[in-house]
Amino acid sequence: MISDKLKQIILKELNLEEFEIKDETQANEVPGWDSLKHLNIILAIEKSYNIKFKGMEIMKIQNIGSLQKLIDSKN
Amino acid sequence: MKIAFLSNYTPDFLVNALKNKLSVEKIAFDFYTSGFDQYAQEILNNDSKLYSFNPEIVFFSIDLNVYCKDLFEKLYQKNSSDLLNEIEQRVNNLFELVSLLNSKLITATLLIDNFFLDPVHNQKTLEYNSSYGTEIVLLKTNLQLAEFIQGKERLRIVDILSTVNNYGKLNLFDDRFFYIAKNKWSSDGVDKISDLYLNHLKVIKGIRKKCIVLDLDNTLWGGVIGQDGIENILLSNDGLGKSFYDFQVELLKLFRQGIILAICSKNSEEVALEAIKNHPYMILKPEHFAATRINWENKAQNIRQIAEELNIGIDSLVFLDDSPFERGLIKQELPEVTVPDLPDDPVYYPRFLKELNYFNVHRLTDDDFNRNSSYQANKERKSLESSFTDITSFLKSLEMEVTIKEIDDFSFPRAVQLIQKTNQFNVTTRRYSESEMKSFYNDSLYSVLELSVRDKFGDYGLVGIAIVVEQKNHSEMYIDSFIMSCRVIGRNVETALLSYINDIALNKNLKSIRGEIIPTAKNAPSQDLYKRHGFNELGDGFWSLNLEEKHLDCPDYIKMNQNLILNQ
Repeated sequence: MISDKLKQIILKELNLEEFEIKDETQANEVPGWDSLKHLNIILAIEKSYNIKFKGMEIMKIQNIGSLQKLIDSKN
Repeated sequence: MKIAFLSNYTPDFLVNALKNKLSVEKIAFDFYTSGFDQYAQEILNNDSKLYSFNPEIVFFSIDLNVYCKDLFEKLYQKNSSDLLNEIEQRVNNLFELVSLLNSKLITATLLIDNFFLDPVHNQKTLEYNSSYGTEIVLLKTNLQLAEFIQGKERLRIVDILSTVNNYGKLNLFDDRFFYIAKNKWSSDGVDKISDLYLNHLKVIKGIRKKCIVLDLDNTLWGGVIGQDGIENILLSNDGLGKSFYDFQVELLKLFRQGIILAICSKNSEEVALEAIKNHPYMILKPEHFAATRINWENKAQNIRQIAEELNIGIDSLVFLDDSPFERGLIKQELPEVTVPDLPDDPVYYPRFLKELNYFNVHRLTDDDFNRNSSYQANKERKSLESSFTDITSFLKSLEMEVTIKEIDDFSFPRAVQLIQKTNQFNVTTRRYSESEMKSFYNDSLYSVLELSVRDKFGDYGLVGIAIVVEQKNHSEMYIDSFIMSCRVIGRNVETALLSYINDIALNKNLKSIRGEIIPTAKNAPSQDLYKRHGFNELGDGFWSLNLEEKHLDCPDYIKMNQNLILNQ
């Protein structure tokens, strides 16, 4: 399940009003989510959850479900 | 502002942050970012997108660690002096590119990053001690850059190194993003570096506050003078009292750079002035304050009066007060005033003041150095003025002298400053950039005239600019801009400048002078300029003076020195 907190961070960084975000949603399906925005989203998540990702973890995120799992594993 | 960004790393993080900051500051911009590591091609190719974009400002941001990566990798195989020789060569190649860019964009300002080192030292004890250090290489390379820009008017250095030193490499760099995205800045780094870039752009825009309005109790000294007395306030050259002393030293440095100081304090005036005059560790003395309001009235009212007395816009004031109540009041009543929050702990006051970015410049002009003595002279003029009943005899008693000539390289920076900053006596408020001004300066149909004024109390320096254009097909001289510093309003020196324009027009056999008034919220003092001087109204804000019917004379109480273009 994608938490509302994560969804709001993503929408805010992408300047989107609303977008359906599911476990299997991938970055390239979401408007504006390019490699630059990807890192901005990572930074925003790190700040908001007070966690730190490893370089490899950032590169290996498959979809939003795996991003959520990664966050949960660090909390 | 048309801004180009050239770099040898992924610039998007920095550029995006800078764009956001410009929007917050309400500065309009148009950005061009070169493709990844494409800066050399962009500069070498005459048909590049960079040149068709035709920027006014170019950031040239080369990360030396990336640019000389292969050389740094050879460290300990090569010693510092071999490394330095090779880096020097490379950096010279870079300077050739900058020179080429400079010759192709003949009016743009180039902002060049200086160099910093990655935290590469695997030997923290070896630097400067052995012949294999890198810090010494960095120092010399930055010196090479400083020497390269010497005397090149449109080249400026962005001192990235100091920002990196102040905030620390370990905070500003994020190795993950360097390996993933070829951007080495962390989010904190992006924030600090884009702030620095923003400050440079504000300097180019001429955005600078003019005056600091200061509270006294717990701001210039610790404690309350009215209760504690002069011998008990916290102000000394030792211990905690030294933080107030150092704060005053920093204020005095700003004063020397032409920032005006004023006092707004709730106190008994006599008691407060006594402390300012006689406290042994008071760095700021009565003569450093151009205006003082020490009373029990509402501070918003007092600050309004200070702006009026100094004849400067209320939006050019910065208010420093330890009391959150007073700050809140001013924020609410006078939203144009800048009101930063002083730190809770006075030990941070000196650093806080150094970190304020309201007073930045690239260069200090003579006018900056002289400004405060001229406010002092103004106080003396005011007391003389009150002893006269009619204005003409007062003006006579001032023994005014004006000098009018075309601007030159020496007066150019001040002329640009006046064009960009003057609000009140400015008939058309056309804000020309440095590069536009340069193009007038080089155009034979344009004359950019400067007016300097002095009187028996002192030198006002360069206080007026007129941009006039000869329009041959209409046989007229058109006054595109006519600007005077508020410091000389009410002295009739504008008449001297108009009379001079009259003479140039006659000398060129022109038949009339045409002026234009574009009203703004702030330029009321200049809106009757042409009417007062007998111009005829043409409608749509235009006014004309027929030179066959009328000649404007310089008032007889103003001595005019003209080392003239008329004779050329």
